[in-house]
Amino acid sequence: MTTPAEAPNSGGHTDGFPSQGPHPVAGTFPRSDAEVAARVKAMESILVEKNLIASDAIDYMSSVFENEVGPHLGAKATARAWVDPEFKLLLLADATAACHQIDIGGIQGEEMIVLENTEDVHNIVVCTLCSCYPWPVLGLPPNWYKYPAYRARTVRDPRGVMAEFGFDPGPDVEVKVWDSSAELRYWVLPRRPEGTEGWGEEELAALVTRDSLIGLTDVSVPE
Amino acid sequence: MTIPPMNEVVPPEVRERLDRLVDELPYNEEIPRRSGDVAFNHAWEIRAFAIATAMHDDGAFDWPEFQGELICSIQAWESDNDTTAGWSYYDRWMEALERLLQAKGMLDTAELDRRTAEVLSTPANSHHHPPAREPVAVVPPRAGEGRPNE
Repeated sequence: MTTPAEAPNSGGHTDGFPSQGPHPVAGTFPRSDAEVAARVKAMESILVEKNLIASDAIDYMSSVFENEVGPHLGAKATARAWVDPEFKLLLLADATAACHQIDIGGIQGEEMIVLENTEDVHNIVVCTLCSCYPWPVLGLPPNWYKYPAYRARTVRDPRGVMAEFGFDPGPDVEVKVWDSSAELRYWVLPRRPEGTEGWGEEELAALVTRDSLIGLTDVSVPE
Repeated sequence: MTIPPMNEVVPPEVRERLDRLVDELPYNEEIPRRSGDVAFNHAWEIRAFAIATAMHDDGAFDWPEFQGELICSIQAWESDNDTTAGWSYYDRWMEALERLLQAKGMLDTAELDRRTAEVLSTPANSHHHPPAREPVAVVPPRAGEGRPNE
């Protein structure tokens, strides 16, 4: 660990750090998450507009950590639904309320719908226009979610896209493709894998992947 | 930038490079972590992190310059606040980044304030398509091809 006093001085500044004026910070900086999230978004849009940084470069850095926020919340909700039938009913009827019950928040005015995979139906989610994504539950979208190739192909050939992720829902299963938008975001409740009877919620949650919550794969028990 | 395959994995050396940047940060022990790895609780935190690291990577500023701003921001917060209530490493991160970019002439705080207000007042769905409450495509069992829902 590097303490402030020992912070490396590899830059071209003779005093180690750029000269600092007084820091009038107290009380002026936004506090709520919605405000600071808006500020981050605003900063990004200005910097990209001025060609000071490419959006792709920010996406790329984000992608390194895209698994660090979110999918574990979707996994938690999924595992709870597998062990608690009442919670599952609520999750399918009113996902936003169900998520609030286990302290998963969202943005006001956004509706979430959870689609249940069954023996007969497999659901897969896409945003055909851009990259609308249930980020309070799944975190940031993976880069490929935004690619035209994913958006167009998932509608045209969902089985082919799933095959690229190594998954085949089976010939007897109907595949439904759902289009997320900014005010209505879908995610998938995968089927509980066989051989997990009696497992605890945390163990179950550890099996749930981001891709399974988008509907690209199922949830399986590692061999 | 070429579009990588869908199941692209970020090369480990990129992750290591970022981890080294993080290791050099001031008040390192304050960085939220899970199982030793840097952890984020909100999507905006990752985005703020990514803006700073991407701009540094692109040569917009040296890392010690950012470190210096982060130290100032954290120390100022600590001198103004008695408790840890309301503490957020990435709030300080954003403030440090703002001040650094402003000092470099890359960002104007008044412009950022205006743009932030615009973002906050823009309805969530203004640039998007209306909600689609039915599937956009259904592939029946034992069929290989999609049948778009018109």
